[in-house]
Amino acid sequence: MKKIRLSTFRKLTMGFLIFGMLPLIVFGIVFYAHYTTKSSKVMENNYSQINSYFAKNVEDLITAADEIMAKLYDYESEGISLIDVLKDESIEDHDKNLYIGKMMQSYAEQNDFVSSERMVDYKGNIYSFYRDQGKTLKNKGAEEFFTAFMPEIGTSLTKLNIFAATDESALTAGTDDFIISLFRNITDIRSVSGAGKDVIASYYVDIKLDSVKEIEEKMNTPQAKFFVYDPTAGRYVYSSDESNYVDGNDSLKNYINGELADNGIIYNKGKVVFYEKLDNCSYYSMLAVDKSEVTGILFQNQIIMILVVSFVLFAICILYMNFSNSVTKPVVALKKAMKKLRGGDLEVRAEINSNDEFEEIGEGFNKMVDDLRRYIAEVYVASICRKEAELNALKMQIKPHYLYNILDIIRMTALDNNDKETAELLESLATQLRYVIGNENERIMMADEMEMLKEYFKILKVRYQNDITLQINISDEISKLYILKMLLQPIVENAVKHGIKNKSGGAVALSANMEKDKLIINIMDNGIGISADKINHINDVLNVKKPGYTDPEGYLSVGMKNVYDRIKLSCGDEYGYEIQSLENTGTIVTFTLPIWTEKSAEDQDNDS
Amino acid sequence: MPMERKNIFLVIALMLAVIAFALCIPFLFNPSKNVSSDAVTIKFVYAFQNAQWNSQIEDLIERFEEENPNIKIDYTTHYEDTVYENFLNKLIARDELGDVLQLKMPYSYVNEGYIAELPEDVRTLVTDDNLYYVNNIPYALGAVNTTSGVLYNKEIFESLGIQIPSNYDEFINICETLKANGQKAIGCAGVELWHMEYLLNHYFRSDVLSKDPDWLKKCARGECSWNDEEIYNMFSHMKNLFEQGYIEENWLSVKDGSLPYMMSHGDIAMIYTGPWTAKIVASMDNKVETGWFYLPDDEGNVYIDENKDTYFAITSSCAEDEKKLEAACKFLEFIYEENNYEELYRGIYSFPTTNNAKLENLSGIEEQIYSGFKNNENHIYGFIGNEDTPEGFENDMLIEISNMLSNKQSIETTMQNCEILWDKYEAED
Repeated sequence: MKKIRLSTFRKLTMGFLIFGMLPLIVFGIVFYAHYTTKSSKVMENNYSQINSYFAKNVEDLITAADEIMAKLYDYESEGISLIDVLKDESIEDHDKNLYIGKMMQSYAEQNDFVSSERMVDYKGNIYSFYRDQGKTLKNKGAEEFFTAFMPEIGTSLTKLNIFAATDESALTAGTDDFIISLFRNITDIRSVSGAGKDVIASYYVDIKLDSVKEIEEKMNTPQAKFFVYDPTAGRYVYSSDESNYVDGNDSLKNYINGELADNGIIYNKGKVVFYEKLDNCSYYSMLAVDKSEVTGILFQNQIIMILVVSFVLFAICILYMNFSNSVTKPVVALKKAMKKLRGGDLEVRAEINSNDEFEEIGEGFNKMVDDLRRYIAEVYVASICRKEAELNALKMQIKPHYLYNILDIIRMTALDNNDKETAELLESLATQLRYVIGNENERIMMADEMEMLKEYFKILKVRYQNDITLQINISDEISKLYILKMLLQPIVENAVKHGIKNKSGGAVALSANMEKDKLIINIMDNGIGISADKINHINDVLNVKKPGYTDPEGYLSVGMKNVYDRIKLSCGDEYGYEIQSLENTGTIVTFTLPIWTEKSAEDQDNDS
Repeated sequence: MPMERKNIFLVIALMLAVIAFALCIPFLFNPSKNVSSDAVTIKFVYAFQNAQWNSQIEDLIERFEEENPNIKIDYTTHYEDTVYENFLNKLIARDELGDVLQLKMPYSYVNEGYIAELPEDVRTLVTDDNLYYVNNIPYALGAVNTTSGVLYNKEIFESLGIQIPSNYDEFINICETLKANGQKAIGCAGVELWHMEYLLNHYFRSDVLSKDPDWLKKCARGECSWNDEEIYNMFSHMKNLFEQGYIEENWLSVKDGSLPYMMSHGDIAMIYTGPWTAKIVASMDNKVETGWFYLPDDEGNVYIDENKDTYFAITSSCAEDEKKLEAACKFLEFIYEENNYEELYRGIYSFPTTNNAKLENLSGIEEQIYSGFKNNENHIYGFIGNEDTPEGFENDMLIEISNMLSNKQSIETTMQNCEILWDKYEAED
């Protein structure tokens, strides 16, 4: 037999894995990676954008403050420019004060974020303007940093400088605010050389720190901290954490290592820092937030996704296993049944209750086996049994006419010798022989069977010295029915041989009636009966389906078994006979036969 | 459980474990990201001389950025009504000079170290005589060369039977004719001081430099003065136009940008201006035919103003940054590419500074401008405001001129003030 290389289960599983699970897993991983990357990017982008927006607003603030210092060059009052005023020795200090004060005021009024302005000219004169009239510049002189002329800052005279957040009270009375100071030198732009070198004043524009705080509040991100920070100098122009500019703490230093690019994201020590360089200065706008804020939701989503995917995969596997079971189990059952059938077991059944095509196949298989079994029984076994029955009955088969002639000679001789009894026996024998040998038909009319029984019983009576009787009680209707040939004789023989032979006044009674669609024939005797154990044994032997089986104990005769088998094979399993007996009382054999009102088709062919 | 099924279960369990691990990977790594932009930004500062020039430059920048997505041009236009040089000085004062500059006179900027020597690659973009040298080192590229002359409304001229003048008297007669016919003869933009340079330098060239091209050098040496007779003649010529009412009476409130509109609507018959004004008039909705002539002197001599006063230069701070320098050179090379450059100089009816520039398929007025320029040998290059002029003098002088022309002071006072200013700025220089 060809060896199976790939079972149905394995093929199904491979198909499921290769075309189902694998693409699902690959797609899932790709999608998951893409989703994770995208989600991560979205989260990062969100905070980057917030930081960018903060940076832009801070840049705008700085630009607006710087613009004041640009406009100084264009300022004119009564046709006189600032440079003219500063350079013109003939203008009185008082008039200069008025001029510059008016100038400063005009710019402060145009810009709400301006807290104050200061200017120190090349002669050391200090001018100031405060929006809050309660504030006053402390009179410390031009040597102080915030009122210094050309303070030593960097290497360029003309660059914009932004100072770290400063306690205003260091230079101003009547305040506890913090300010951010922008500083530029004002040069003489009346010539190219003067524009780059000739400093005529130093100008300071002070921005209220609250202006930047307002920008932070507009961001509406309480979980984040904002900074405007110079990482090289460790200076804070602004910080959400006041200690950075009040106490001089440099909290960002812990998270920033190495040089920074124009913008980026730093993951370090559980914090995420988004940064972006401000235009035209060394400061960066920074947003610091706990890592859990950035990745928290993402982490939750990832866990949920993993759980869902795992559950789905697990459920798919379970469903698949169930499905494969439902497919392979009937196949295996069929395979087993086929194997048994090949081994000759015609009683095999494929039990499949899957409510699908496999169940249909199973039923088909079972019907096929039943049909096969019946066919074999009818055509072959029945034929064998019939032949066996005929053979048994014809053990002493000789050519009929020769036998009839011999018997007739013997009968005539008996008559010649006035031996009537012998002549009658011989006649009975001849009649039986004609019945058995002369008639090839399978079915015989009941009346004929009764006649045959009577002739047989004549012989038995002689044997048992007329101490036995046979009573037959059947109706005319029943006598016209057909039964299998040689059906009742073995029973009657058995009844005499085992039942009544040793009993005085033994009798065998035969009756028949029709119950519904069956013919019931009872053969009773008043013999010694059969014990229950023997009855059970006999029934067991009867139920052995193997044709020609004989009782190893010898309780059931070959003829009785033969009759039982023939009924089963020819009429069907619902027909047969059963034996009931009571010891010392008697035995009844009850036949259940089909009601046949005519010969079989084969018998009709024989007749024609 | 059958062996086969057991194996399959093991395989599936292993796959699930791999998946779980793969899904956990993103948790394990959070790399920091640092991004520096690959793009280079260079700042280009140029003078908003006129709408046409501005438009050409903006188109050029847009096309350059399209072809060079990694280079961004941050361009600053000077829209204010002050002198461009003042604007540049303000940028210097704020360390915002930028990377590529348009300059009128590069000399001071070279001296102060703001302009870098031109890299070798870009020196060949223009002809040698259009490079600006200081001590034999080239520092700037001639952008375009221009001239100035009289743009006139042909329809008005033809309607009054006016012909192009062959001498200065005829020009004055034209002005009289126009005035007599109720037509304002000449438009002038008094709002912008620099506009006065047109008339000022025309008369300076024809009345002073035509006789002595080194007058400014000599003045610097004290060999001549603003109180000299030729200066008086120059100022007289100018003032006469205003006193006689040939100039549109509201000139003090007129902007240079309004003059093309006024010409196209027939409000004025003539403008002393650069050729680009013709281009602007031609682009007006109200189409009018214009003509061009170079103003002759009393003797009928025509002195062509050859204005080499537009240069491109690279700043020193740009030159110190390799990437920016490379971008700046690329930008300059783009400007001087044949098709781009032709669009630039033809866009303002100027003259090219390159070797292979073409002047073909000229319109009528272009032909008049170019042929007059080419065919006349009397070209004068000097002007008030060149490298022989002390820095700061020109601006203050224009104020004095404006006061003179608006009758706030006499010619003599103006001459004296100019002398004082010259001395002052010479001393400062």
